[in-house]
Amino acid sequence: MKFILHFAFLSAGLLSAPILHGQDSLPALPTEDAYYRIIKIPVPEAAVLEVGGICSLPNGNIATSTRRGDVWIIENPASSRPSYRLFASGLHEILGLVYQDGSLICAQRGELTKLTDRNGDGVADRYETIYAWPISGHYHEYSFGPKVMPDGSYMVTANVSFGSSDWWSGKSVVPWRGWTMRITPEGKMEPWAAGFRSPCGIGIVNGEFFYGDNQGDWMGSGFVAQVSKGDFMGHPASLNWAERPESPVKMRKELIFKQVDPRDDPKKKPEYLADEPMTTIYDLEHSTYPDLQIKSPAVWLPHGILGVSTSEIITDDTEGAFGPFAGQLLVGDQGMSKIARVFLEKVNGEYQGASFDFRSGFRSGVLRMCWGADKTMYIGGTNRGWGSTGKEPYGLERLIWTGQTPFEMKAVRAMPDGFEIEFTQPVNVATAENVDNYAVRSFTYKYHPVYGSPTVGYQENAVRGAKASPDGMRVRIVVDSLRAGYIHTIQPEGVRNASNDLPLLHGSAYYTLNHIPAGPKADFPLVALKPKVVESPMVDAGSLVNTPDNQMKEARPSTEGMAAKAPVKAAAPAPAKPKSPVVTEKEVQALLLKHTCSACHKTNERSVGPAYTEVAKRKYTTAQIVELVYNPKPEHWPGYTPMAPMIQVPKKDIEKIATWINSLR
Amino acid sequence: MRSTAPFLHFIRIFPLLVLSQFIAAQESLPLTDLSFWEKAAANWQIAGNAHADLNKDDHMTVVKGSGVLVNLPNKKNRSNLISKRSYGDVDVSFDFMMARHSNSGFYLQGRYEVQLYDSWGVQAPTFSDCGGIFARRRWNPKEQLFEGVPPRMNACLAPGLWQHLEISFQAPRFDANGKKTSNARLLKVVLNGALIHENLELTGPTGGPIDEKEATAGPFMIQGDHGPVAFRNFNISDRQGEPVTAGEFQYKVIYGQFRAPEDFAGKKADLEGKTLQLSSEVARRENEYAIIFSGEIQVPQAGKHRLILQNSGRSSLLINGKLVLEDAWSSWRNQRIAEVELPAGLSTLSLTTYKLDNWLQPYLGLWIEGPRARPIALHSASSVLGIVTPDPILLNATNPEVFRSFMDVSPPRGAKKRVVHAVQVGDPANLHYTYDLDNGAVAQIWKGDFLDVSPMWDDRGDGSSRPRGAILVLDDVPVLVEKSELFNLEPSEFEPVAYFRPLGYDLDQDSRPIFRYKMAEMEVEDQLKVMDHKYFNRTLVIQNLPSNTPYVCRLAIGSSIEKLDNQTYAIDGQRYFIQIPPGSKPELEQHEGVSVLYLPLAARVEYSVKW
Repeated sequence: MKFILHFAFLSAGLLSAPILHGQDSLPALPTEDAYYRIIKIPVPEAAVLEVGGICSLPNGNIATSTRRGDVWIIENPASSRPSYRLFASGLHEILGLVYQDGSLICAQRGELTKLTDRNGDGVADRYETIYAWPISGHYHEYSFGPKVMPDGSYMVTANVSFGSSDWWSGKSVVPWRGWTMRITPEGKMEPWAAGFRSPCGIGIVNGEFFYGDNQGDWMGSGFVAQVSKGDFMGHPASLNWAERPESPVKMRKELIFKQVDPRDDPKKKPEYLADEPMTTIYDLEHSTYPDLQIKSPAVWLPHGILGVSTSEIITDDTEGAFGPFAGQLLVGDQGMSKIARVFLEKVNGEYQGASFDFRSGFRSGVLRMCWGADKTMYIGGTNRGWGSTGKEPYGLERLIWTGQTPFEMKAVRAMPDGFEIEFTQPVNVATAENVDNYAVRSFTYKYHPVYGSPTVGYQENAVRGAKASPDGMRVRIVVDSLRAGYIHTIQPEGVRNASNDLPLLHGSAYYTLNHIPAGPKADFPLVALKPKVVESPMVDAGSLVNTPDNQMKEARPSTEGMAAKAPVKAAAPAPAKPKSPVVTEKEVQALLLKHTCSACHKTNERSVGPAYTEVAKRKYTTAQIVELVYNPKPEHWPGYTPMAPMIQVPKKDIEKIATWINSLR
Repeated sequence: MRSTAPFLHFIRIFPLLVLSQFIAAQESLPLTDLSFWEKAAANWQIAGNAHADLNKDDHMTVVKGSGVLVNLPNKKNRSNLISKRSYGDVDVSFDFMMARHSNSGFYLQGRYEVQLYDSWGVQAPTFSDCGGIFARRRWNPKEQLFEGVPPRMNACLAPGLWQHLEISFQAPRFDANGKKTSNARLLKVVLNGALIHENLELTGPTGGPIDEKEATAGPFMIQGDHGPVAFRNFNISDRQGEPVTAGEFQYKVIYGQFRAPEDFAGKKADLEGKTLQLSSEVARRENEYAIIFSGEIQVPQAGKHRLILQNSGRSSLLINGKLVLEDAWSSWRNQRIAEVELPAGLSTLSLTTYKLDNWLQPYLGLWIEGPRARPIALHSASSVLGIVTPDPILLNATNPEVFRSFMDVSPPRGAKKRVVHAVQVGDPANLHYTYDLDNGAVAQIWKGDFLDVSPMWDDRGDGSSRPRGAILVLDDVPVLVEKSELFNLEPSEFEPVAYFRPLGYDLDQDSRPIFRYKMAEMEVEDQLKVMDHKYFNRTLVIQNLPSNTPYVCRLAIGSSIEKLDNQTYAIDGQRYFIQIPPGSKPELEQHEGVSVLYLPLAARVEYSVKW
């Protein structure tokens, strides 16, 4: 009887959701969960599994290394009762793991180590130093890797440290911090490339070395980039060692500082300057120093949207067993507990491409991913000390494709006069060929010593034509005023699929247009350019990101369904300015999403940044909050990841948000 | 404040008031004679040094001279030693040396015994082991021992080594009728650098006191009837001066965003009142306030006083109208200290604090320490409660542990450093060491508990761990050197050097590491094993050893190295022993105040470190 009552109650609860949607006149749209399911792997209580490395073994076992220095081998990882064996322990905050010829190889803080079980008892008894690199002992000197290159050499990346009084300023106080080191199995080290800040994300793609960084000093946002020998990726600290005979890097610190004032004052943190002359890493590479092997990102991962702390980069090499994205990159993010997807193409011989949302809602910060023998993805996470949207301190999960194909932009390719969007399903041609169903905007990030960068250089790009391919799988759009060096946000807001009229699961692509390809222009008729009211600069990226999916619901427990149609244009010019604008919860949540605040802040609990209720306790005035959004003071929030200046957010929107924050007291 | 019977008060304070004209707060006993002590039997004598044999029970020999107090009891002469002077609250520290299996004890007030015992290698120490608080004794009707307290860990060194003990003692308190109002306390007992007791309450005299009746003061007593023991370097800080007391403080609170004292000077108070204790809570808000406290303190004894201020925000302190801490910002993490000469009687105190940083927890603590008194708080307990200490993460070596982390050490010769490629090796025998993979050095040895890993594993951490126990820091330099480099004590470089390549370590069948490295053309295996739960045996096995190698093996580096017998050397004035197997032929060289004990390099080198 009790059971039946319970069940009835539960059913009512389930039913209530569509009713609520109905009130908002929204259909119950499928979520990420319908296509990719996250399954928690049971972990023994004693194992504090702050995953720093994960790899698949030839027999189907999974090996994982932790920041507590353990290496676990997990037998039957896909079963409900996996078996854990402690293979090695006592290592120094391991942040990588690969299997090779019967051994496991991992980067500790200070060395590359090969772990071998020589007596066959299942436990490592030889801890062999392949190569020990210099390290000063600063907390931020993490070392990541290895990744194995086709020739068998190991790639290891090294974080910069920070100054003691100038804790904001990345330093390289011993050789090769901020570098990638290439190490042979015999223990010969070759400094490979420089300019890294916090290179947690590394991967091998098509036999080439790729890496991802995240926002910080000299790094405007997260990204992925291909790295060749001698490349310079942007952070100047590493160039302390560029003069050494063994350095293949041609770039020099002074050349950067000739262009950008490093404002290197140990007593004064560089604050955001709105009016200084600006440059970008793209400009540095393409215009300023074209011969010095500067390498700007192949694909940016817009900060706060696709992540805040780039982690593992893996290629979907499942040949379709994991869904429709075979061959593409999947890129983890620690702070936002999510995975982004990257489509790469080569234009003029260089990588560029588009990034998309893929899957969010992991229980901890996504740090490492690998493919299991069963072609499902294994995800290891940790968030110690940094915070993450997934609030567990660590986690081990599987991501499984349900066999259903989501309606997504599978790829976006640059065209001489626009883009070609490839979809995963045939489009409803009528919606796809209506230019009003698209929005395209472009922006970029500054290259400067300030932590992170606001999005700058906004421009609306009119969509002048759209033509679907005969099979409905591709649409070529013609876009005005493409700008090389800019990120183009492409949002086919009104496009539906042919089969059941669904909108896209994730509505935005972020195309990093490093080169505009040559070639014939579209030969279909274009529509006349419609005059468009240019609003104040804004990031519109959040508008259709995460159509109602679980993660965003989790982020805002009280605003069911709201994310589906964030009223992007509702934030239109406010009429007369009331002294204390009355804001609705719904309006504020839309603003928080639109301006990517929700990426790092939740209302009631710690995420990457502090909860709004904690901010409210500080009793900032509205004016102070405006100032802090434009020029954050991370020193006020010790223990949190610093916030980047969000200069692109209009003052009137911050005022509304501030009023709401202070109403939480 | 504490109340004391006026009469007792007088007895206790008077002689010291007189003495204080002549002596500093800290007194070092020269031990040129026995005049500090009541007349004792002939078992007590003054010497220049002492030696105890590692292998003979109750065996101690003396060297002529002064500065060392030695007890060599026999059947006839076996008296205890009692100081002439009495002490109440006192800090006392000294070095001591046990003979093998010997037993002694140091009594505070002649009543509360910290046990001195040769507990070298004892695995589970009891109250009768070294550093234990000996049990109380009663007849009920048979003898019953109760309330003994073992040390938190066994930090006892080998017999024949100089050990160090520090004790902070608080005497029991009595009311006007002589009724005890609070028990005696051992505020702190530190043995060889390891904290073995803290704030430990003693309900009454332990076994064998001079008097079962407790008192406000009493003499030191050293047990002399059980076995040979030696002492030196007595340092005594009399702490029984009356503390400063304070009356009411007036306070004035002004609300606003103030960046300098001028911003609120002369402004009308938003709140005013009186308080017996300083507290940031009188502001009734967490931020954007200024508080000005003013009041008087009663100084019982003229002299140098220390004021210790711990405050969130900006603050300044005036004593008798004079600025002793100028307007400056600090967080609650930092203490600001002022040393001030105060006359006896009333002094005025004015404290200004104001705060603008809403991310900082309000915090206000002010302590004052008199010339012969412990620091007392002028603030309320709740004013310093805001800070939550993270849960500690501790690692024990119940099994052999091999654990990498950064390790901070202060080597005996050379600057404080962070060993970055450090391996901490823990042994269930509670004897542990740090191995530096950059040079093959044993950077330190410690006994007691294994590691505090909170610095690395709490929050982001800084990648380091800390030993928990008594530590012997050694020179962090290569054990194998070319003979011409014998006295090269330069720290290792950040960068790998061509002639040295670490290869890591293997675990043997007991999971104990064998470290491996290449040096020049040699391949070296280096293993330390704990023997008898007491000491390390180190074995270096060298392959590809050239027939006339320039390399030697440095066994020990010291400011002094003393040969005790053919196999035993005492390093740095009996800080630790090096023992070599019979037949080994070590050499001892001296250069500019540094001695090095070394062996010519052979395919196998073995020696022991006893500590």
